[in-house]
Amino acid sequence: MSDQELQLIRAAKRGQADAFTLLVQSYKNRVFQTAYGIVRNRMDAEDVTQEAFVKAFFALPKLQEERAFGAWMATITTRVALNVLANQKKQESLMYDIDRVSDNRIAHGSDSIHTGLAIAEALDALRPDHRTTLILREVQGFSYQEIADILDIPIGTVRSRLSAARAQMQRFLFPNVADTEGSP
Amino acid sequence: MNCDQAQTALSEWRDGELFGTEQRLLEQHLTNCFICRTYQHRLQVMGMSIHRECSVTAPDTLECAIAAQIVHQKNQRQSIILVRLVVGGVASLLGMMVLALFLRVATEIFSVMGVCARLFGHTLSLAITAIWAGGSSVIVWTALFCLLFVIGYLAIRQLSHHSPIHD
Repeated sequence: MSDQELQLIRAAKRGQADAFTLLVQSYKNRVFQTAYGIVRNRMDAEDVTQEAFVKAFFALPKLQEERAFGAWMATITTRVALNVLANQKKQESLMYDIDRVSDNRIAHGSDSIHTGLAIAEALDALRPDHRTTLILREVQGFSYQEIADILDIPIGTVRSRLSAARAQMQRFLFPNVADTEGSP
Repeated sequence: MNCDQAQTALSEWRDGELFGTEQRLLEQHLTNCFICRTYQHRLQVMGMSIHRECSVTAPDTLECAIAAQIVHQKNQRQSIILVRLVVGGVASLLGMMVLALFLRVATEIFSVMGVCARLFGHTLSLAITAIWAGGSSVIVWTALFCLLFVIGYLAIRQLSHHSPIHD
C-alpha cells in the first residue's frame, strides 16, 4: 500500500468525504470484481459494492490497521455478498443440473474454456463458500492466511476449499479427464 | 505420492503455498506423470480464465450512488438518534413515575406498620422516610432522570446496533 493511499485512509477516518470518494475510486473495481465473482451477476454485484462501501464509510473510524484496508474491504464485501446470496436463496438456482451441464459442454466443444461461457458456468456451479475462496485467491491474489482472516476460517479449510473448487471446475470443464485419471 | 495427493498439492503449489518435502515429492511425481502435468497445465489455464471472467469494471454511476446512499444513511442515523432521545426521555419519565409510586406505597405501608417499625428501633421506617425525603429534592430527581435516560438510550442503541463486519 502506498503512502498516498495510507494518507487517504487516515483522512477518510477523520471524516473527510473527499478522501473517501478517492478511496472509492481506487478500490471500486476490486470490490466490484469480488462481488461479481461471488454473486455472479452485475446488478447484484453493483448492490453489494454499494452496500459494502456505505458500511465501510460508517465503520472506518473503528478500523485499527490502516494498512489492512484492502483485506478489511474484502471482508465486508464477501459478507455482504454471501448475505445477498443467502437472502435470495440463489444457491439452488445457481446449481446446475448435471445433465444440462453435460449438454452445454458438448455444445461448446473442447475449446469452450476459452469462450468464457464455460468458465462462468463452472463458477456458477460451485458452492458459494468454495467460489468465494477461489475468487479471493485467483482474482484478488490474497494469501491463504489473508483468506483465512477474511472468511474467519482455519487456514486448512482454505486449502481444502481451494483444492476442492479447482478439482470440481476441472471435472466440469474437462469431463474426459476423469475417465483417464488414476494413480500410477 | 499418488495422483490424488499430487492434484491436491498442485493447488497449493500453484499458489506458492507448498514447501519442503511435499514440494520435492510433487516435482518428482510431475516428472513421471503425464496426467498430473496436464492437470497442472489446466489449473493455470483455468486460473487465467477465472481472472478474465471476473475482470469486470464497476459502472461510473457507482460513485454517485454510493455518495447518495451515504447521505441518505447519515440522515437516517440522525433521525434514529432523535427517536432514541425521545424514547429514552419517555422511558425515564415512566421509570421515575413508577419509582415514585413505589416509594409512596412503601411509605404508606410502613407508616401503617409504624408500631412494628418502632419495635425494631425505627430503623426501617427511618430509612424509607429518608429515601422519600431525599427523593423529593430536585437534585436527586434530576440525577435519577439522567441516570435512567442514559440507561434507556444505551439499551436502545445496543438493541439497534449492527456491525458492518458481522451483518
